[in-house]
Amino acid sequence: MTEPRRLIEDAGFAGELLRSAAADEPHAQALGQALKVAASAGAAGAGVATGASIAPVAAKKSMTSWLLLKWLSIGALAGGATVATAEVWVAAFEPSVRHTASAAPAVSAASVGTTEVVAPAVSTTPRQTNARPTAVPVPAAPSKRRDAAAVEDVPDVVENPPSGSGVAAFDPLPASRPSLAEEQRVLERARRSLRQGQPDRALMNLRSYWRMFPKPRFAQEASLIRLESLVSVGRCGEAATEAKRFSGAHANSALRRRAESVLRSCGR
Amino acid sequence: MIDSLAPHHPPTLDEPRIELPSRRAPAQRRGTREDRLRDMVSEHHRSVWLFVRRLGVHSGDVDDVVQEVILVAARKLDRIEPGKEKSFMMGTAYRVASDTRRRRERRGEVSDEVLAETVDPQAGPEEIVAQRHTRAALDRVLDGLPPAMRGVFVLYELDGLTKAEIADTLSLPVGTVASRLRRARDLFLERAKRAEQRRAL
Repeated sequence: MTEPRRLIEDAGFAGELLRSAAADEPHAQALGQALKVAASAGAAGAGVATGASIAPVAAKKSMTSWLLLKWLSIGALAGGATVATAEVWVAAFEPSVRHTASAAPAVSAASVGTTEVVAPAVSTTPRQTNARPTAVPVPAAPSKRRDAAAVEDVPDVVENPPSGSGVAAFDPLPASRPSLAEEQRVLERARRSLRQGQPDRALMNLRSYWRMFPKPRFAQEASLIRLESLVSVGRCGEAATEAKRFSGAHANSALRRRAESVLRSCGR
Repeated sequence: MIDSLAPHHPPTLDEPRIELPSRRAPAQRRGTREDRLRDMVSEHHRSVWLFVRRLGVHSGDVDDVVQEVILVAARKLDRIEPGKEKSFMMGTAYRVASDTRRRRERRGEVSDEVLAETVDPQAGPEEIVAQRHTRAALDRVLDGLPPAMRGVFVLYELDGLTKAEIADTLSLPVGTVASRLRRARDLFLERAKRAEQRRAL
């Protein structure tokens, strides 16, 4: 199958437009947030994330359910009011039907007699239907609410979660531990340096990173950036050692293949 | 030196041990699952995020869409074939992004601020302005493509996927991808030409 020449290679304005997208980057917190969601969702097993990390899309679904409940309530309310009113009319004009009507539950029980009973009937119905908060199983199912603070509530990811613990991926971090965002920011600096063709600077950034975060949460990513930087400056021997170390330490990592392919560009 | 830089790395050269998931202890299985999801996110987050944004999802919704993609991936993790992680995430992103866009359009909210906030840090002020204008123009031209064509176009032109890879990612026949791409390119060129003319005025 032939692949047409890509317009991004075009020397004209169309190519210029497409090349302008090369500078696009996610915002600085995006990866950190995504990793928190992943940690939370992964820890929750079959894809049920903990309450704090449910995405707003899920929240919107919850909102839809709530709206459904709301309209059902209004429907029930209107229905109840109609029944009550009808019964008032029936009671007023045909007393013999009263027994049949009073056999009906709740709403009709309050609706015998004069028009005054319409008000309690109407006010009772909302109380019944206003059971929405208890109807939504908040503790059993994950809370579908999410706000800015909710993401922050998710515990941070640790590099090697202790196996056998209840929730293996979470670590009760001391308050003094640097924030994920901070760590991400420092690592992003190294990544940017590498992308801008300054591998020496990237290595320097990484040294700061390891110094600032002796127990890094993005160890794999940092190792990979280091590997790429070493290859870029032609320090193939060190790159090979780093790659072996990476493979050993992160044997099951999806980044391992990338590490190996980076090393191959060094002729190893 | 390396040791001092990477103090946590165990100095082992052992090859990875292949184990069947069913034979592993529950805790190990959980660890593997979490590791895999985390690796997927680490490796493909940038591509997914940019893809979603370039599909024209409102900037305020991009993170939500990406998070939804992660939740879907977590739910279906066991069904994602090894090596198909990116394809799965991009395909899911395409569908979630389409839904999100449609929802916003139904509410009549189609305008958005321009993405072009990232510019070359080496550039001077005039260059930065020019870069932002060009990036804004790209968004406007892309906005003129129907969503179905836009996805194919972005994957081909900006993500560098082949037609076969796009077909795999979007679960479309290759012929459909080829025809959408052809029409998208024609439309893009036409609109780019108009944008160039406007700029010259």
